[in-house]
Amino acid sequence: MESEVFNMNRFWRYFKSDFNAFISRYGITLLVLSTMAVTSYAFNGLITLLTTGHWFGTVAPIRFLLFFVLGIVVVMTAPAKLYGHLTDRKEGSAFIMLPASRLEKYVSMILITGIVIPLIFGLIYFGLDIMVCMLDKTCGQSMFSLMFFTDFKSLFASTLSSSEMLEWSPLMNDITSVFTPFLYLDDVFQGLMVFLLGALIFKTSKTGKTLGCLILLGLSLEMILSPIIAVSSINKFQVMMGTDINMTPALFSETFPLISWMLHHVVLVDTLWDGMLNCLLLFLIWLRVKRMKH
Amino acid sequence: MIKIEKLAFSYGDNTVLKDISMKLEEGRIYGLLGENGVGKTTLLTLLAGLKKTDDGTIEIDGYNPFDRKPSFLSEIYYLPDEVPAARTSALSFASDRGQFWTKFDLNKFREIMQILETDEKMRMDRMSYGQLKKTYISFALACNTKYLFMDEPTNGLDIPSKSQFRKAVSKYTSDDSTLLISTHQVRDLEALIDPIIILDRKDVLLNASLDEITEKLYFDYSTSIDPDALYSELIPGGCIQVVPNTTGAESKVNIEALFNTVHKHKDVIKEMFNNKNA
Repeated sequence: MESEVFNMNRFWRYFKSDFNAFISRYGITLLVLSTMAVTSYAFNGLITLLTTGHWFGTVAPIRFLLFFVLGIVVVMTAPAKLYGHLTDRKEGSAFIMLPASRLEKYVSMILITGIVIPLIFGLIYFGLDIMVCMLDKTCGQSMFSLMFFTDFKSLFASTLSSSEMLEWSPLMNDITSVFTPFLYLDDVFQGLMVFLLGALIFKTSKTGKTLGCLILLGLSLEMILSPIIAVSSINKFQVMMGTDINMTPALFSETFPLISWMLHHVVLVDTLWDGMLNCLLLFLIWLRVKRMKH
Repeated sequence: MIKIEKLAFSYGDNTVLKDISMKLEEGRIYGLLGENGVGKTTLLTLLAGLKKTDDGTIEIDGYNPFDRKPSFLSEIYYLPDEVPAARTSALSFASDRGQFWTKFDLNKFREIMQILETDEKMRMDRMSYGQLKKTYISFALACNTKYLFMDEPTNGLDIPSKSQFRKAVSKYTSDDSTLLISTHQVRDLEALIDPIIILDRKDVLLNASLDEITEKLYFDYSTSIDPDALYSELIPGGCIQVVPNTTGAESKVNIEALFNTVHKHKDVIKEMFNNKNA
């Protein structure tokens, strides 16, 4: 007898069907956005060729900026396009009535939104960027190569020359861990989950309302946290401002132990925080899927 | 078997169903009738597990519909009045979705599509409302589910399609399947539905087979008015009257007249049918 909670065969059938729906609903949009790496590159090259008579590839910072902007567009639009229709009575009823378990439908939804979409977008985008940089010498290093093979720690250390700066280098060394690209994968997942939750809650203007909620939440958190931080640190700052103390890493660590510890363990703190938020978002999405009614 | 016990459901302060109890037996095609707003669609959605009951219970072969267990879902199909248009052809929609219903038969789907004269290769998002409805009717019947709930299935169908629909339902429904069809178009389904359930705002006024109805009520199509008639209405060429059947004479049920009789004499009818629904 098949499990009522999770059956691998049924899940696979459902996932394939869900994947086909994803291709039908968002496939072309995702393809257009992911191939922007090459279309924008060609466009930029043509413009420089027409204006200067020489072909110039797009420089890395601009390519990174475009990637960042398009990534945000994908994060904000994909969940609503893929699962926003579930708040509609007709479409939502069909989703509920399909003979697969709630867990199977939920897992498929999370995999498509949180893993498949960024994976396809990243693979196509970086793949095309690598190809372009292999074909065109004016391109320089590919984004992938810059992100994954640049030794940010050495690069940063080389800029530290004075003895005073060298004194701070262990802390700076820890802080440069934020340049690890893998550190941002859970942030991408988090963004997609936020907009998926919004798509499943709001009936209209899903992206706009989700953004509005994020802004409100950010402002509320700032209003709550700012006074707490101020109260806990202000005395120390005031004492220091009035004296001629030379701030050393040891003193910094002694005066602000929590901030110092967090800076030294920035990757751990970021991962834990994102992990906690992702778990909360996954739980809220599960509740929404579980209690969906029409 | 479907067992409904003291069912209650409200939309906020608006109570739609209250203290509703009834049993639906297997292998019958039930007609669910009632005035606008009495909760026919709500009842169907509750049976399909799309909503959660406020109070009371619904049990379908031991399942609580709202649990939405896959084995339960593969035994039911709910065809709403308004259906979504997939961005694909009817045939690929059916083969993609059908795989989730264990007894789905694609050949049957294609046969019914032919009976209903609908192009299986046509994209669903380019279909008219009627064509889309016929595609979903074909799909619903091809799922071969034990329980099939239909909300106004003949809405949007043209005149030939209505008789094709009756033909398809009669031909492609297995003997052990239970159908519950909510409709206002009683004439479209007169030859199909038996028993009949008439729902009131907070009560089941009638849940009886046509035999039980004609055993207790006589549908008189004569030209003279009977003073004992519970209901009478002039029709071209005479009148239709509903009178208590005291002689055991046989007659053909006129569902519209029955509906009006039940609404005019709620207590009399409930007493006459011994309130067996409760």
